[in-house]
This record gives sequence, structure tokens and C-alpha cells, in this order.
Amino acid sequence: MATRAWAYHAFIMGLFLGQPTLSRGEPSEVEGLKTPDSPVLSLLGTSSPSIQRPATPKAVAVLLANSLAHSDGRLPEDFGLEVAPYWLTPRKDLTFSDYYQAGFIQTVEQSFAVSLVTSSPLPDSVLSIMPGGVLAGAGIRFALLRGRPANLSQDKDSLAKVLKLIQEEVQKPGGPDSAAIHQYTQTAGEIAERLGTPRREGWNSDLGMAVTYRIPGGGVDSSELYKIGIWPSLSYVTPNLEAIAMARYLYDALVDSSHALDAGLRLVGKYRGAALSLEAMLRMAGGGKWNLGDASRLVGLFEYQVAKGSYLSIGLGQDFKGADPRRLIAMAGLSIGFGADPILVGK
Amino acid sequence: MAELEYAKKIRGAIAAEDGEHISLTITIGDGQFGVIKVMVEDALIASAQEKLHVSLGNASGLRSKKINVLSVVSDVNPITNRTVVTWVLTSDTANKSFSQSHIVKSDWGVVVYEAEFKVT
Repeated sequence: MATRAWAYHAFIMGLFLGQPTLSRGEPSEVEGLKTPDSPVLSLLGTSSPSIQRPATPKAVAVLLANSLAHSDGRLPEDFGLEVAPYWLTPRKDLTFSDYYQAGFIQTVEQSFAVSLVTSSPLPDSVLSIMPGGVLAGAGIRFALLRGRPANLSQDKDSLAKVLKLIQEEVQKPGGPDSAAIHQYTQTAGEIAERLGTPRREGWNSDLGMAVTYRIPGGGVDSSELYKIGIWPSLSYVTPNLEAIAMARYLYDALVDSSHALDAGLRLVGKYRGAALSLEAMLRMAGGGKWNLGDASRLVGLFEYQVAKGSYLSIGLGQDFKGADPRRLIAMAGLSIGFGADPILVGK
Repeated sequence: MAELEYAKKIRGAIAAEDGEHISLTITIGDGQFGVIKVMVEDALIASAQEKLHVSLGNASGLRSKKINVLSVVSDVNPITNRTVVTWVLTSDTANKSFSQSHIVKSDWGVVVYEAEFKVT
């Protein structure tokens, strides 16, 4: 068994080690262009401030007041706040069906979140030019389109059955059986998680934007623009096909006011035990003008389930031009036992 | 691991003349999912998912009886752990609304809401 697992791991290692290293943390796969959960943290390049997510207007006010009270008239350091304004007050009339059948405006409202972050200590890239001070940023993220969750009816029916069992237990004359309640609650939680984080079929689109400033003296009057980032994405998902287009635009005021645009397209088709993906990426960057050069990547990956737990995988393509002159990506592998999950089949 | 939680029990009443018709609407809000059961004393009158509107009959037939509503709500909304249930008692001449909110301690938790109403 260990040999089989090793064979699959060796193949997967080859898949990744065979690629030239990219500089400056640029994404090497389309997935890396995904709209980040927190655009401002992604732009700051740090995860140091803990983001607080107050759920009521009062909690927002208390958090802001406390942070300002302890900052001695300066910008608070290591402050992180994310607020989804729509959810600050109870939505008494918003049923589960209303939530999942939201129109365009409602989808934007329901998903809109704004973040405010300050960061200190500074990342290494900033320390060389600004030994002290604070980085501050603001970001927003929202969905423009949301597809219909797959398996919605089945999961809803399953959850309703479990919740009815809880109802019956709660009503038992002698009181509920704690073991049964525990089991039902766990089961309900598992189904709820599936319902709450579904694969959404149809059109999906997200947009994230953030801007960050360098504040050398810690006072807002000395602020200088640091970075701007924009992450749009659009996808169309069916049970057997996924088409995803993503992009990331970055403006960096520290590096000669440079622009960088990464755009990617991924197509994944699945039929029974076979899956094929095609992934293309294009990178444009420049100080004042766009420079295409050899900044493109095209990779195809085929997977076939030979038998239960056994997969044949073939990858072929051309990588970005990097420090390593070898751009060809060519791989083949066979997993015939327990090992890592396949990349495409079964997901 | 999530444990079953209980929201604070709601008690309320609506004043109505004998001939007035009484109905009850229950809504599970905040985009959450749940089941609802309405009983007069121990007799089941109606049950549903998400939202329920039920006609309870004339006020004269409901006096001295308890209208019990048992809702079990699951946190399925990935954006908020808050759950909210609203009960609206309606007579021919008035509405009375009651609302209760509960934030579950962990993601995907389950909370029981109990409500007891009377017609006076």
C-alpha cells in the first residue's frame, strides 16, 4: 500500500516541482486569482491583524470607540474590522428560500462586506523604505451573481427530517434523550454545512477591491498611496462542466507605479470517470506601458478512473517564462491504490 | 461540536371578541432553515418549513387554551450565526407581533424556539 501511495505522491510532486518558480508571489495557477475572502488583507500581504466581525451596530460602535480610545490620537495599530452591513440587523422576513432565490440587487446586498485594517509590524517589502509607521487599508467584496445550489431540495428534505426528529425528542413527556439529541444535532450540523457552502450551478460572479496606504508617521495627514487591487471573477457551472474566468489587477506605487494584470481561464469537463481541464493564464505588467512578452501559461490535465481508487493522469502544457528556461510541462502518472485524491475526478 | 441550544421562551396574548377570527403566522428569518409545529393544547394543528400561516378558528373556541409553537432552526447561513423567529397573532381588528433572536455558539448549530400564546 505504501508503495502505491508513494507512486501517486511522487507523480504529484513531479507535477509541482517541474514548474519554474515565479517571482514576487505571483499566482502560478488560475485558482490563485480567485477573489480573496479579504481583499485588503491579501493586498497588505499580511495576516497579522485579527479581523473582528461585529454582528450588531452597537458592537461596531463599541469596537471603533475602544480602538480609538487606546490609540492616543493616532491611527490604531493591528486593527481589523469586517462588517456585512445587510446582516447588522435581524432580517425577520428573509426566509431560507428568499435568501437562495435572491435577485441581482439582493445578491449584492446580502454578500457585500467592507473591511478596514491597519497593520504593524510592516512586511519586509515595506520595511526597507519605511522603517516605522503603519499600513492601513480598506476593502470591499461582494457577489454579483449567485447560481442555484446543487442538491438543494435533497439537502433541505434531509435537514427537515432531522429537525423534526429533534422536535419529537424535545416534546417527549420524560424529556429528550441526550444521546439522541446529540446525534441529531451533529447530523443536522453536517447537512447545514453542505447547504451553507454549496456548489452553485449556473452563473456566479464575485468582485473584490482594496486600497492600502503607507502612513510613516502614524498620522492620517502623512499617508501615501501604497497599493490598489481588483479581483473580478465569472464562472458558469453545470453538473459536468465548469468554465471559470478570473483576473487580478495590482497597482504598486512603491515599484515605479507599476501595473500588473493576471487573467486566467479554466475549463473543466467531467464525464463518468474521466475529467479534462484546460487552464490558460496571461500576465501583463509594466511601468507605464503593458508588456506581454512570454508571460503566458497553458496547461491541460486529463484524469481517468481506471478502477475504484486507481487513476491515470496525463498533463501537458507550457509554463510562464521564468528564471528556469524550461517551459514545457509534461507529466504522466498512475495511481493504483490509496494515495492523494485525484485533482479533477470526483470533485 | 455543536450542541442543541434553546432560545428564551416567548409568551404572549391577543385580546379579541368572541366572534373574531384568529390566525397565526410564523416566519424563520435571517435566511436560516427550520421546521415549525403549531399545537392547540396537545393537538397538532399545522406544521411546515421556513414559514407557516395557520387559521386557528374563532376566539371563543380558543379561550382558556394554550397555543403552543415549537420551531427548530438550523444555522445554514454562512454569513451570520444569528437566527430569528417572528410570530404574528392576528384577529379581525388587531395584529400582535412577537420576535426572538438567538446567536448560535458555533457555525451550523441548531436552536429550539418555544412560544406559548393565549386569546383573552
